[in-house]
Amino acid sequence: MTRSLASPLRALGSPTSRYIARRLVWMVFLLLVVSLVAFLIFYALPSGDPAAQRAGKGADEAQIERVRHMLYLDRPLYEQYFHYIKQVVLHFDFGFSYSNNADVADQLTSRLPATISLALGAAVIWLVVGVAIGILSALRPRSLFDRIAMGGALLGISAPVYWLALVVLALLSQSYGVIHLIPNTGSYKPLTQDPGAWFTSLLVPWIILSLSFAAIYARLMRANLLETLDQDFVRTAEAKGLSRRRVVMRHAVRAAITPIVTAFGLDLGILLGGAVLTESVFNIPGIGRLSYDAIQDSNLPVIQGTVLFAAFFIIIANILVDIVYAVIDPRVRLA
Amino acid sequence: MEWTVRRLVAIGAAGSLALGITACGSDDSSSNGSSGSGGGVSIETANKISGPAQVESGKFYKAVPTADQQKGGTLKASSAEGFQHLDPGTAYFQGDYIVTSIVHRQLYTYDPADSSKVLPDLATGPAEVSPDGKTVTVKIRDNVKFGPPVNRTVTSDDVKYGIERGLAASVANGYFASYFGDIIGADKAKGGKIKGIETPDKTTIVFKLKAPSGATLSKALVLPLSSPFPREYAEPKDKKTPNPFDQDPTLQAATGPYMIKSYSAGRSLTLVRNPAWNGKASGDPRPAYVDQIDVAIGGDSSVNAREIQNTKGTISLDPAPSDGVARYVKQAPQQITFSALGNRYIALNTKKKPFDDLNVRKAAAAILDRSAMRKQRGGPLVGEIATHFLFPGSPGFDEAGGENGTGADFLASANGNLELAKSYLKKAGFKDGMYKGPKVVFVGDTESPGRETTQVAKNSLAKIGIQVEVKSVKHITMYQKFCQVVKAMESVDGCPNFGWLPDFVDAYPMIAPVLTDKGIQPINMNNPSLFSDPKINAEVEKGGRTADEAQRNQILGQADKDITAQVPAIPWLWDTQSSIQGPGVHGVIATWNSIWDLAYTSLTK
Amino acid sequence: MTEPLLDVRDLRTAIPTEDGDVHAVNGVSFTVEPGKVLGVVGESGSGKSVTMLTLMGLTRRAGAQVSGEVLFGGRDLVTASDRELQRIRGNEIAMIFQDPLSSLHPFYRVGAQITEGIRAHRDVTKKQARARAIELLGLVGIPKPEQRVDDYPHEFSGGMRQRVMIAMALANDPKLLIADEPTTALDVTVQAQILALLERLQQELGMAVVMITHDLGVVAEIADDIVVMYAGRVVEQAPVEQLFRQPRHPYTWGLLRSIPRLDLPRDVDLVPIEGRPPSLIHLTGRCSFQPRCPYVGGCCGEQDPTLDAVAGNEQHRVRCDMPEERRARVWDALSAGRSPSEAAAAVGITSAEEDAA
Repeated sequence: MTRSLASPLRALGSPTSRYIARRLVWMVFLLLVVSLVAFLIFYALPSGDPAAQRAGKGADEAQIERVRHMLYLDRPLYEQYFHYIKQVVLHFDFGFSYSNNADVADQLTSRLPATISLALGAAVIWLVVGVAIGILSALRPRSLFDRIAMGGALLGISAPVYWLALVVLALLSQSYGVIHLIPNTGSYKPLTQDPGAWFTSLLVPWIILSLSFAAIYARLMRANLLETLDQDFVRTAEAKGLSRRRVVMRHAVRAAITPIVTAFGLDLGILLGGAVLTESVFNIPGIGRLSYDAIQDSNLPVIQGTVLFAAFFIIIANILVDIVYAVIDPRVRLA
Repeated sequence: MEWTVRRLVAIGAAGSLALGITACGSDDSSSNGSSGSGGGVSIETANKISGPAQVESGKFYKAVPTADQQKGGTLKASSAEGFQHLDPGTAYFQGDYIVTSIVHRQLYTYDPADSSKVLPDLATGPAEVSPDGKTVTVKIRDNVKFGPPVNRTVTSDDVKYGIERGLAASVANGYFASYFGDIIGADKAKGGKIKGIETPDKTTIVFKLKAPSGATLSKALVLPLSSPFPREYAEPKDKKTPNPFDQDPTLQAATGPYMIKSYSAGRSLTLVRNPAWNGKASGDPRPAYVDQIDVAIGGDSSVNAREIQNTKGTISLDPAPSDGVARYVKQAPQQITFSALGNRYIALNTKKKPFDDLNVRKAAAAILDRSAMRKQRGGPLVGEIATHFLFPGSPGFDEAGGENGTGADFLASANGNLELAKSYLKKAGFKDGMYKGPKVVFVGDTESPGRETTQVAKNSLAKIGIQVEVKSVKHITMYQKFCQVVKAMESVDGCPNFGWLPDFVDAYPMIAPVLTDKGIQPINMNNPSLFSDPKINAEVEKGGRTADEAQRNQILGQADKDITAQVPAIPWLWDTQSSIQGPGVHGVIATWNSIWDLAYTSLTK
Repeated sequence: MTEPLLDVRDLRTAIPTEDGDVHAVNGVSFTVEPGKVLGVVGESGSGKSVTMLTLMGLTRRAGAQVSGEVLFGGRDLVTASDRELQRIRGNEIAMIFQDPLSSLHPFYRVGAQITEGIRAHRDVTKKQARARAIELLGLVGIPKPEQRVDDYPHEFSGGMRQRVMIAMALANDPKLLIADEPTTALDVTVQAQILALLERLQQELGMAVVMITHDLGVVAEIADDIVVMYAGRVVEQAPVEQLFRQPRHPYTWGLLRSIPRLDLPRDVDLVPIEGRPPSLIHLTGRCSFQPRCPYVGGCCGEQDPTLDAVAGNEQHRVRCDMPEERRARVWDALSAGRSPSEAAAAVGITSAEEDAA
C-alpha cells in the first residue's frame, strides 16, 4: 500500500504496463480475426467477380483469367489470406484496389488526416457543448433552459445527418444558399497546406457531425449529474462549506463525467474509422467515403483495409478508455 | 442511416461503357418515383417529348462549338463518380474517356457537331481497308510530339506498342478481343509484339487480319487503345503490377492538348496544357480553350449539381441526378443538355421454356407497359420509348425504321395491348390467350430504379397470366453472377435491367456483342437472351465487314429489324443522358461519349 | 442558565416533490447548550435528518420552503445568505453522515478531502493543511496517519472511513458537530468504538454535539438531553435520565421497547412499533401518532396535542393528551414486562380493533 513516485524502471513491471502489453497482444489477435472474418464474408458472399469487373465487358475468358492471376485471385483462399496478412505485416502493403489500381495503403493514409480532422474537431465541439449543456440543465432541472435544451437534444438525436447537412447547405451554401455563407463542398484542404481553408471547410461539417453526439452527451451528462448531485459525497462537500462552484465542478461533475469518458473514447474510435455521410455530403476525402465506395465496387482490398483501420481505432480506443478510466477512478485497477 | 447516400457508381469496375449505361447512368440517383401507368400516351407523342429533340428546338442548352469561344482560364469540374483507369490502354468508362481523349491523340476522332463524321487525328487521312477486308492501312502525322518526359516525335511503332500493351497483364484492355482480336498473332501475344501490326516506315501502320473484319477495326481506331505509347519508355513500366501509368497517370507522355499534372485517386485530378502540343500545326482539330482543368472528385451528386448550377466556371462530369435534372429543366434550362446514350431492354431467355416460343415472347412484348417503366426511371427526360434496338443518332437507326419503328405490332403500344398479347398466346397454344405454364424467374435489382421497373414488368406480364418470380440482387451481382454467366441462365428466364451502349459510333458494336453468337461465352457474356439465329448472325457479320457506310448501315439496320421481329429482348428505352454546367461556361458535348468534351469546352465572359 | 449555542424555534420545512410538498419538519423547537450533547431520536422519516440539513442550509438546493428561526451565535441561519451559511458550514458547524463510504468522494485521496475543507475556511498553505490532516487522522485513531493520508476511501475499512469523516468534520474546530446516524451502517463492535471516539472527542474538545439516531440506546450513554421526533414534530423532550426513568409519550415507550434493555426482564421480547409513519404530504391536523398508538381510548382530543411541560417539571415536555395518571400506570405495566395491549387493558383502554367493532 505504500506509495511513492514510481521510477521508470519500476513502471515497466507495473500492473499498468503489463495490462497494456497484454491488451496489445489481444489487439493483434482481434485484428487477425477481424481481417479473417471480413475476408471470408466478402468471399463467401461476393456481390460480383472482381476479375470480370476489372477485365471489362468485352473481355474473353482468357483475358479474365489473366486478370484473375494478376489480382492473386486464382490462388486457394488460405493462400490469398496469408499472402495478404504477410504483405500487411511485413510491408504495410494492403494491396491495390481492383477498380482503379490505386494503392490501398496510400489511399488509407492519405485519407486519414481528413478523417482525423473531421472526427477530432467534431469531438471537441460535441464534448464541450454536450457536457456544458448537460451540466447547466442538471443544475436547473425543469427550468426553461433545461426544457429548451432537452427538447433541442431530442431533435438533434432524431435529425438524420444527411438531411441536416442538405438543409444547412440549402440555407447557407456559398453557391446556392439563402445566405451565401459557407464554402462549397469539396473545398477541404489539409491543415498543413492551408489552415484557413481547412478550418472554414470543416466548420460546418464539424457542427453537423457533432450535433447528434452533443445531444446524446447533453442528455447523458444531465442524467448522470442529476443522479450524482443526490449522492452523499456531494452533500459532504456542501457540509464542508465549499463554494457551490467547487461542489458542482470538483465533486459532482468529476464523478458524473466518467461514463462520458467511456462513451467519448468509443465514439471517437468509431468515427476515426470514417464518417461516411458527412464525408460524402461535404466531399471530405476521408476513410468513410473510401469504405463506402469500396463496398459499392466490391473492392475487397479496400474493404479489408478500411475494416482493419476501423477495427484498429476501435480497439485502441477501448484500451485508452480503460487506461483513462483507471486514471480518473482510483477504484479501478487494471489487471 | 449512413448508407442512404446513393452514389453515382462506377459499379463496373468492369469499367465498361456497357455496364456503365446501367451502372453510371441516372440509375443511381433515386427514381422520381411517379408511379402508375402512363395514361393514353401513344408511342408517337411519347417519342416527340424526348430530350435531344428539345435541345434541337433551343429550349435546352445546345452544346456545340461556336466561333466566338474564349481562350484561357481554369475550368473547375466535379466528378462524384471519379475515375477508374486513366491509362488509355485500360480506360473503358465514360468518365475515363473524358480524360484519355484530351491527354492522348487517337488515330481518329469525331466531329463534335456531328458524330457521324470521323476526323483524322493522329492519322493523316481515312484508314484504307483492302477489298478483302483483311488489311487496314493508316498513315500518321510526322510532326506530333510526346510531351514530357519523353519529348520526341511520335512514330508508327508507338501506335503499335500502344495497342500491343493492351494485352499485357497489367493493362488488360477490356475491348481488345472484340475489335482487335482478329489481328494476326494477337491470340498469342501477352503484351509483347504482335506480328499482324506492321510498321513499314515511321508514319505507316498496317493491320493484317485473319478474318475480313477490317471495316469494323477501322472504326475502332477512335478508341483510346489507338493512342501512341513510347515503347522504350513504357515497356519496362508495363511489366509491373499494378501498372504505373494507371496508378500514377502523371507518368504518361501526353500527345493531346492536356497532360495530367496531378492525380489522387478518389480526390482530385489536375490537367494542364501539354507543352509539346501545337494544335492545328500538327493537325489536331481541337481548339483546347481552357488553360487548366481542376477536377474535384467525390461528394454527393445532388449537392454537386446544386453548386454547379450557381457557380461560375464549373462543369459536372457526372450524369445529372434525377432531382438535379428536374431543377435544371425548371430553373436553368440553358445549363443542361441531353444526348443520346444507348438502349435498355428486358432480355428474355430464348433457350428455355416458355420464352423459347416466339409467340410467347411477342405476347410479353405486346403486354409490357413501357411507358410506366420509363415513368419509374424519371419520365420523358430520361429518353424515348424504344421500338427497336438501334437508338436515335446511331448509324442504322433510320434504316431500321427510325422513330416509327420496325413495324412490329407487338411494340406499337407504349402502354401494352392486352388483346394483341392474348392473340399471340393463343397462337402459342394457350386457348383463352392466358398463359398457364409455370412461373418465370427474372433477376431484378435491389436498387432503384431497376427495382421499380422490374416491378412494372412483373405487373404487366401478370395481365396475361405470366407470373414472375423476381430474384432481387445487387445490380453488379445481377450482371456478374447471373445474366453474364451461361450456366446461371439455366435457371433464369429474363434479365429486366439490361442495357447497352456502343463502344464507338456504329451499329455493329450495338448489335454483335449482345444479340448474336459473338456475345455468348461461358462467363462475362453480354447476350443473356442466349439468342443466336444463324441467319441473323451471318447478316450482322456481313454488315460488320462492309466498309461502305451506306451499305453497312442498310445491312445492320435490316438486322435490327430482323432481330426485333424475333424478340430476343423487349426494347423499352432509348436512353438520354443529361449533362450540366455552371454559368460562364460554354460546354461542348462529345456525342460519341454522351458527355462533355473538355478540349472544346471554354469559359465565357 | 447560559446562552444556548443553537436555538431552533418553530422550524418548518416543506420540500416540493412531484407528488406534492412533503412537510418534513412541522414546527420543531429545541436548544443545544455549548459543550452539551443532544440526542435526537426517531424512526427514519421522522424529520430528524431534514431538521439538521435545514439548519445547515442543505435543503435550500432542493427548493425547500423554510420558516421559523435557527439562532446560532446570534445569527438566524434561516435568513442567512448562502455565503454566510457556507462560511459556517464545516467551520462552526460540522456534520458527519450515516454511510461513510458513500459520503466520501471515491476519486479523491482522504488527505485531499480533509485539506480541502481546511483551506475552504483557513488561509493556510497546502503543507500546513496536510500536516493538520495528518494530525486529525491521528486524533481520530487512524494508525500511521502520515501514510494513510494519501489513500483513497475504498482502501479503508468501514469504521476507519467514519473516523476519516470525523477527522474531516473536526478540521476547523467546530463549535457544533451534527452526527447523523454515525454508527448505523457499521458493525456492532465498530459502532461502540466510534461512539467511544465521539464521546472522547466531545469531552476533549468541548464541542456541542447533536447526535441523530433511531436507536435510543446509542444516545443513552453520551447525551445530556433527548428530543424524540415523530412525523416532523417533537413529541417528547427531556434530560436523558428523566426520559429513561419516566418516559411520557407512547411513541417513546415504543422506541424503548424496541431496544434491548438491561432493566427489563430477560424474557421480554423486543417489540417494534406496529404500522408505518404517516405521509407527510397531507397532514391531518390531528395527533399524527394516533393511528399507531395502542393506547387510544377516549382521552385523545380532536386537535393535535401541544408540546407541554409535564406538571412540576419544566424540562420535560410531551405532546400527548393522555392524562398524567394513566400514563404513569401504563409505563408501570410496560416496565413490568407487559405487552402494550396488556398494559392498555390494565388501565381500562379497549383496543383499537374492539373500538372500531
